Amino acid sequence: MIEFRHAGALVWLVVAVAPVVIYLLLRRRKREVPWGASYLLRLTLATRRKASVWKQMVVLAVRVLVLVLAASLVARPYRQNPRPRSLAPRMPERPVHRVVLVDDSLSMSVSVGADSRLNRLRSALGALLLSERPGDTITLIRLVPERPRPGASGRRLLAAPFTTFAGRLSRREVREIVSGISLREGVIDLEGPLIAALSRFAATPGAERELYVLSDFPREIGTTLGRLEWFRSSRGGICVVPVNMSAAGESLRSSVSVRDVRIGSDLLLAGVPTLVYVDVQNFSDVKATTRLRVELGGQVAAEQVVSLQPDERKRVALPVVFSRAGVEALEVRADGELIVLDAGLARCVEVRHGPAVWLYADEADPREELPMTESEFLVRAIACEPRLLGLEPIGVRELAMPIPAEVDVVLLAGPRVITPKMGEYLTSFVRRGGGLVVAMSPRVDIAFYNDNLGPLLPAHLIGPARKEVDPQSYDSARQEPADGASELFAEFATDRSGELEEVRFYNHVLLEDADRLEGVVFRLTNGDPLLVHRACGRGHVYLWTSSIGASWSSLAVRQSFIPLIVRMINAAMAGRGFPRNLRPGESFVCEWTGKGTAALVGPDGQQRELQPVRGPEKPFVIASGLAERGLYELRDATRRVGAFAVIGQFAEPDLRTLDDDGQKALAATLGHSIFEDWPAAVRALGPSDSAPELGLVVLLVICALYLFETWFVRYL
Amino acid sequence: MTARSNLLTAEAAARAKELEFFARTRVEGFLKGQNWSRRKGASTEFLQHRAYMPGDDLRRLDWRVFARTDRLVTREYEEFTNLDAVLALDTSGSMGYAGEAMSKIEFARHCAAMLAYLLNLQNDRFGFAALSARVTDFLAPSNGKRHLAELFRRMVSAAPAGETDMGACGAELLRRAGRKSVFVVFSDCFQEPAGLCRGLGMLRQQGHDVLVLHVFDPSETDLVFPGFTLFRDLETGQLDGADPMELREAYRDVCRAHSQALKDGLNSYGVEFAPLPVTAEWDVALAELLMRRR
Repeated sequence: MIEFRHAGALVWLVVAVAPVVIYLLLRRRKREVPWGASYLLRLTLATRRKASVWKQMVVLAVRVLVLVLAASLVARPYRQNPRPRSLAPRMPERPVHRVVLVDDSLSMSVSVGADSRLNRLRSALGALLLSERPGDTITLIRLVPERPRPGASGRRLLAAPFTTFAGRLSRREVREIVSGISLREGVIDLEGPLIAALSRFAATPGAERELYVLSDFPREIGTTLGRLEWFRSSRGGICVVPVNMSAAGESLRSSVSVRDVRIGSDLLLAGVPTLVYVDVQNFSDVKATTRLRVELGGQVAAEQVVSLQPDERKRVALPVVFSRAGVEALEVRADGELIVLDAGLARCVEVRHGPAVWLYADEADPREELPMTESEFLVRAIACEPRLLGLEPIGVRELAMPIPAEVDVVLLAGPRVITPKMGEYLTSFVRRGGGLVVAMSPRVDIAFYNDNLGPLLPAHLIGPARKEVDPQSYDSARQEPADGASELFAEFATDRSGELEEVRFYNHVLLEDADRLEGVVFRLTNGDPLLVHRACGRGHVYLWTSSIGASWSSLAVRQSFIPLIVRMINAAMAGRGFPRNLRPGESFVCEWTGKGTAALVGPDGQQRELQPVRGPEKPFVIASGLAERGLYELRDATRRVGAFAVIGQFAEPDLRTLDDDGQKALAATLGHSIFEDWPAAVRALGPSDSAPELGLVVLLVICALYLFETWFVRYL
Repeated sequence: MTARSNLLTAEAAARAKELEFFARTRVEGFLKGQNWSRRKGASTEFLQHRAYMPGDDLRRLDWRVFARTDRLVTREYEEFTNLDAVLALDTSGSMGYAGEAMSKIEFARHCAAMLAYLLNLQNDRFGFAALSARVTDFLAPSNGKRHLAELFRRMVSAAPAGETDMGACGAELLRRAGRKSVFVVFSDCFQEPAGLCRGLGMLRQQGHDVLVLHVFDPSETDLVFPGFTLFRDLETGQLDGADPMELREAYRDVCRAHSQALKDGLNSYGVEFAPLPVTAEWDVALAELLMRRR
């Protein structure tokens, strides 16, 4: 929209009617002259008369238009809402030093149609850069701090890098600078850039100081505003202009973000349905519906539609069956994510077919009316599905010697005695990565367990809770919340299936310090631990304080019996695999089964060589310094040998601008409220003197019209 | 003599005495004069040899040729005679146009009067014809002061009116012309060039000498009027409205093309064409024209 600085001068528009008036007067005051050469005149008119009327109109219109433009030129026209590219704030009389804090976080890539926050930022920055004059200075500072390198400690105080440009910049230079802004993942940090801005201002003491903050002001910074109190007293004399780069109404678009993916173990059993727990949150002010997908090898393995209220976070369980042995990568995606990262939320798991499980239980007591071992139910149940577990009942002889490395888990089904030698071999087995599941029974001699399995057990055993088993007196189980390995057992939680709650536990073994015990997976309704986990060396030990047979509980006759046992074995054998989902900075270690040197291919496609390290039995590869999230692959010359993932949450899940309280706090800190967009900021600051530019255009148009009129009248 | 005093000034009469007017073609006269005659005569200017014919004057036999070739040939000499000139004045309405200078017909009258005076001085015979759509007045060629006065009177009385049709006028002049004469036409030539050339070309094709003096006002070749103007045709009274600013360039082009067409058309018939702008001094302009013509 075009407006005029001297609108009063538009009265000169009346002169535009002069050609019309003159034309009408001339038409009205027809002059009659005697003419001898009428013969020649008529010859001329014969060729001109047809076109004369509309040509007169054209000439008249052009002359009127020329006068209108001339009058508007006097009124100094300028564009009220020019394109942001040409929209720059008014320049002060003195040289100015402008420091621009540029939000280069990934949230700036959010777009509405073809227009993204980054595009708006580039337009605003381009206008600022183009308005630079000789003697002016402009400094650009990025808001996202550099990602700390793995292993580096301490916090960077000054934001870096910053770039300073002095004097007038050509359009080509501006284009290069603006297009050179790239986005990085990370939460913006205002403190460091503000300190850097003050230091840059100090370098130009005589100049006007203007500080522009071009950002979408994400909600994450709301928690850091308290650290900016110092800026209130330091900002004297600085014109602070915070401008919101996000479009109006963006918070009303549904924005769903997958916050976490949990499986429970990096080593899973093939053929066993496994629940993938996906935490998804709605970061918008409207109800959102999204479709969650778990992709396995590029194929959708499971999907589910989820509806979320504003700001609601849900944990969704998606059942996935891993049927193929080996290392599998799965990725979780959700429709409606405003920012889709290439890395996605990837996880890597190792899948194995039926693990080798030794089952040790006492022989059946022939004096009983129905002689049956504690493992009787388990053996018979597993016999129906032999592929699930390679369950092998053993005797005391097998445990009286070192346990072979091929065995993954040893399950002690409440034998009465654990000899010192058995304890020694079991300890060695667990420390080397084996899994041990210890269940109780009425026959167990607590002293043997405490003495010979003490280093492995999560807690000291006290003794049976009840002297006698009373069918009318029993407890139920509930899952202990918040445990590291709880996802494997989450399906048995009370609020999910309730199946375990239906099991009656008539008796169990009491543990010392049961209330403060760590690693409790299930507790009984009376608060006593039912299943307790303890990591020992590379291996894992699970203590089942009741019986897995029918002696102390009804578990063996419930449908959840086999799934629970399988989960316990799966959890216990975790030490047989290597951690495949690492935090940034953690090192990956695994056996090297490939040939020659290993090649590590990162999520960005870059490849680096890894030299295998010779171990006592097998070579290993060690990959360290891994900061980039995503899937990594280990390859030898011919094939993929292994894979793992570096996981981490997306730094900016909430793409909304600060709420009202946050904006007020930020405005109090910066000394100015956030402008809703760049044109609003420029309007408030006073637009640059764009009239000459538009005036030049008008002048050129006038010249062009004059030339046209001359040509038109003369040659047409 | 009143008409003479109006049409011919003393300066013009004095200037006319220094001038000569010749026909460019052979004319037929009956008195000795300055113009080439169509007949052979006895002057000193040798013309040609011709085979002797019985009855030829023996005094004209070329004895030297006879002695050399044994053939009888006679010598012929040029005959100079006076001429008959008809001063044809275009009296159509357009000749009444007067710009800043005198009107075209007035200018033409002065020139014709000066030329008649010159012809009278040369003992040539001169007549008068008033032309418009037809020959409205015709005075047969003669000479003498009385005839000159009559010519002046008729010229003055010929008022501009009517349209121009040189084609019809040319045919009528051809009928009225007796001997091979010289026709001096004073006209603004505002007519279709083809018809005008055809009419005057007929005279030329019949052996008459024709001289067209294009009397024009330079203001007529340019539309200098500001604003919309109604042009009243002096010949028909018809009104033509036009914006001179808009038409000026095109009008100039038409004028140039018309003039060029006249020139080319008349030259193609062997008719002499000369412009006479009314803004010049009429006696000077005519004198220069006749001097150039010599």
